[in-house]
Amino acid sequence: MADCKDLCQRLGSDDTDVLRDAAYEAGESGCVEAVGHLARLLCSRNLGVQEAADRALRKIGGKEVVAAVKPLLRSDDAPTRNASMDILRAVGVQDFPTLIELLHDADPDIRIFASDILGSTDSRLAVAPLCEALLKDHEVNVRYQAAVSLGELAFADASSCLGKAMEDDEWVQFAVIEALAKIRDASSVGALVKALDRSSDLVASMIVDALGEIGNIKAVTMLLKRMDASPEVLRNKIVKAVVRILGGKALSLLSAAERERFREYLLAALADDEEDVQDAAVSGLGSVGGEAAATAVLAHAARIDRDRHPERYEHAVAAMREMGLTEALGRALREGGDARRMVALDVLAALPCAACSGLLMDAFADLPEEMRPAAAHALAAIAGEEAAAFFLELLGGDDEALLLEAVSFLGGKLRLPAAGEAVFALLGHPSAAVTEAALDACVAIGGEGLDARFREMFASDEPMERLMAVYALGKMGVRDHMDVIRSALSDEVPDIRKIALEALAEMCGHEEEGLPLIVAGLSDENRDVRLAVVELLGGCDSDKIYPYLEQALSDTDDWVRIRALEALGNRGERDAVPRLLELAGEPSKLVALKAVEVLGEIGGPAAFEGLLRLGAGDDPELVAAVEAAIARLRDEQGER
Amino acid sequence: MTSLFSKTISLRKDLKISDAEFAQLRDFIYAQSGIFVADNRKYLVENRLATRLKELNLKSFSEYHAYLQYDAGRRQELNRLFEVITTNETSFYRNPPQLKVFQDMVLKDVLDKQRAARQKRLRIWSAGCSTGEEPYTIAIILHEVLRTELSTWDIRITANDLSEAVLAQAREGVYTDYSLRTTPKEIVARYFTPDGANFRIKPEVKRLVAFGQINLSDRMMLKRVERSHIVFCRNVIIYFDDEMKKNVIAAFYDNLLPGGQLLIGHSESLHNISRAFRPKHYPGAIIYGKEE
Repeated sequence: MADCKDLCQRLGSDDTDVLRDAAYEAGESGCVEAVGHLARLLCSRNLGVQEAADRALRKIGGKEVVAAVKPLLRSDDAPTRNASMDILRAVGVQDFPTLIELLHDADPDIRIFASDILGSTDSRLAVAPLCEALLKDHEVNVRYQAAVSLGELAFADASSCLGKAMEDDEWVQFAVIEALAKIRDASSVGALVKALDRSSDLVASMIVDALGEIGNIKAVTMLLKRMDASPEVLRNKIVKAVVRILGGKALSLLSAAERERFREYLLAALADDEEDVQDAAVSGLGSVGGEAAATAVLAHAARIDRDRHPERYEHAVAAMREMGLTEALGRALREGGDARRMVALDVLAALPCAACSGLLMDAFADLPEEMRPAAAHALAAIAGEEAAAFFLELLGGDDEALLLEAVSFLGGKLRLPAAGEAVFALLGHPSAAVTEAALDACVAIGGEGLDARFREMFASDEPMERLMAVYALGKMGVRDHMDVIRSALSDEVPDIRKIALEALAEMCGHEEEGLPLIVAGLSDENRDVRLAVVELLGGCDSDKIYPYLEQALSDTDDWVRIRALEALGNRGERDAVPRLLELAGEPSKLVALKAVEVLGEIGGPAAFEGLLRLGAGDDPELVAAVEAAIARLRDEQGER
Repeated sequence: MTSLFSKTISLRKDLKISDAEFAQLRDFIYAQSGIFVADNRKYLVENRLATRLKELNLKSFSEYHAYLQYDAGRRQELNRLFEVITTNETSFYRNPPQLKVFQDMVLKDVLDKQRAARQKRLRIWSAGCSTGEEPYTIAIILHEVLRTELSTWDIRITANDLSEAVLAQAREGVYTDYSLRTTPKEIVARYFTPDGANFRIKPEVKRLVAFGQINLSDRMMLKRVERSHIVFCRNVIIYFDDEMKKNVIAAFYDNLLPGGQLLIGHSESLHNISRAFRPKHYPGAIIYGKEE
């Protein structure tokens, strides 16, 4: 820690490097005695020194800093004044009375600064003095700044005084409306609505936006009444506010005549220049529905740049779905350009209905080639057996994206035996993605025919083929293919041994057959295989595996031991406690920390006593882990 | 043979980073390097590290955090982590308009002043030099400007980076044509020798640059760097939070000799970071100057 006296002395140096260093150290060490020197250096002509003093004062903070910086607000030098403002914004809250005092200063500039600083305090205590300034100060810029600051603070207590200030100059009204919109308090709706009738178009537009932000239903009737008499721009803003307040669903509760009138306004608002007005119109049209609305929203969605505005595009697509299957969708698929077709496909991809599947299949052949994968994807998402023949035909093609859709639909969704042979043939496809999808589909389809094909495949010299065969046969019924799994356990390729072990998971409790095969893997030369064994044992619901987990605790690899520890913890093996206590003294920190954590998990008197002993050790990280484990035990004890 | 699993089944388990794990890893990275990984990069970190976790057979990002702290391979892993979270996207003659300003204005000004003071001595610091393209580019420009006069000057370009792995590549000085994609052909011909399909930087360029590892969050380490006439720190502070940016920029200020100049990346700014420098606007570049 730097010596404060020495720092003060260095802060009197002529050398800028010395000054910067001393200022830095004063800030880091919180040297309050240096505050006066630092405030003086804030006025330095050397920017580097000024900046160093600025940082140090912020770091030190407190009443002393506020008191030392306050006079600099009156400086004629703009950089000094700005720096002092910034510092007081950051630390002014630490001396509130001084800020309040500044709010009553004779100099209006100081009162503006004080109002500004109070807005950064994030303190409810600032509301009353700012309200007083807003309603009583004779200088308009002070009142304006007070309103801005009340908005920054956004405490609901300010709503009442802001409402009263709606009678003030238009200049102040702007700040007041913005503040009320930020506060979003329902009690301010009355004052805003009341002001609507006597406001200029500009202020009225701000009020409408604010009412939309506040979102109180009381404003809706008034806004609807105002709509017919308003110019187009304001009317569109009212549309936005009403949609925002009511939400889509409630719009359908409007009377038929009101709904029809509102639909017309919504369609007009869709052409507004502002994107948030367009988005609100989309929401509203999605709720009120109808062919005209569907056609307009679809055309609108097609114009959106989906890379730049994905959320706006999704919003429009969601509105289209809300309207259901419309003529507009069919028309877009048949006659539309690429953009409109894509919108229709995106809409249909989550619109399950028989007519929708039919629409997609009918349109498929006439779609441009690059759009067919999206069409197949949409169809696969919504269709059932009616699309089987369609996708079987796709299996004969060579387009990777179409193949993936077909394989996943026929295998994953329909599990169609008739597709088995064609899907199996794709296991030799050059694309890894197609191969993987085909493998999963084969497993899902299953049956004797595929069973025989995979057994044949296991005899291959190609490791990838053997691996796929072991994976599939294990998934299709390990007990029926034990000969293959046994053989795979001694395959030269470690990953195949691993897959064979994973296949045996369901037989881990089988003492004669499954378990001996699995635990033999604990002696495997490959660390990943041993890890797989331990993980498998950890997930096994059998009382016979404890000795093997204990054996794994002596593995040469830390992570094998860690997985064994986790497994013992999950099983709550209290017999393991003495061994765990030994491991908690291991040189490997990873193993020691895990052993401590597991002791806390298993619990019991022996673990608790052992942890208490370990807690007296020298290693701070281990001691912290022991404390966490003991806390856990205490919590669990308390819960009981 | 690469693991069959890289192509098949086991990789399907998706590793997701929880908010708590992200915060834990972010704090660790910050403490180690001063690099602040913003919240909006959470999924980028998840994507880039998920494969690594699978290679290490780890189940979660909190295990990876433990691995980084305690595993025997933690040092190498830390370097890998730094490579993942920083892009190291660089090339020779990156941002030509800025380099033109450097050559025609900044360098000319410093050289003239040094000549006038009869001190033919020049110190340049390339902080965050990645695989060496930036400091070597500066060295090439010095050759181009000083030509035969260069031998009469005492010049040193100090080039630092956080990652030992990239520094090893920088010292090697061998580059693919991709690194030279923005370099004029005649410069390649003059300062590189073909090395198979690659290009090797010539010894007379290499001689001007001294590489070393540095952690920009370590104030004392920064204080030990020899004071410079010019500091380059381009596309580095984007990785830092405001506090760290302020510390690093303050360290550059302290390192610069009076009248020294700082060059940062064209998308970076000192706005709200430092008021100590005087920005000078040129076409295509802003140069930050320290007072005389």
